[in-house]
Amino acid sequence: MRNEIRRLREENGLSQAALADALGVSRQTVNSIETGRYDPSLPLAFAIARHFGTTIEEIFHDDDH
Amino acid sequence: MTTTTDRRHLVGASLGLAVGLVALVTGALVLREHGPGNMWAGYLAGASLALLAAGVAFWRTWRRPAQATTAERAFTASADERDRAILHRAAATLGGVALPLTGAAAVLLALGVEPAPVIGTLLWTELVVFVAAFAVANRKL
Repeated sequence: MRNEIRRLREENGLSQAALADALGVSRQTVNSIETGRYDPSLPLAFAIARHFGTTIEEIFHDDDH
Repeated sequence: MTTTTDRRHLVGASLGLAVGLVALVTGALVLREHGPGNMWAGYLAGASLALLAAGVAFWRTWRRPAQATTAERAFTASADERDRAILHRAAATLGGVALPLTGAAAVLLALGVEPAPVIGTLLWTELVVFVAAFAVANRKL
């Protein structure tokens, strides 16, 4: 699954550590999600969307579509 | 300032280390009285090392959470969802491998092989499988 987290994070001037702190996860988790190695749970995906003031659909994209 | 999460972490860590210390001393005393040879000394050394590692992991996840590793978070009740996913993968791999390994060990024992090396090899193999599975999952996820 692709996502826009890196772009959104950089646009907001956040480091991975700062975003991780805001979401209550580790920096490694943010890095893994950004690079597409780890797909977050639905609650975490909602938390990410809420943090950037957008929707899950705007952030996460299915690879097949 | 100490937060509720900090306090919970400290209480959990203190309880865990206290239980570990009781298990360490009790196990060593029981083995010294009833165990073969100097097994109690080996147990004491190994368990002390594990307890020390747990103490260091607790301290690092409490004082330096940004520098804590996945393994340190996973084993100190401060894991996030990715850490738990890695731990579950490693545990599932170990579970899948443990059954045939135990079966093989049972066959060896039935054939009359000395039990101590068989059990020792079984334990070490399972430990290596778990550590390797954890490392692979940590790289993949």
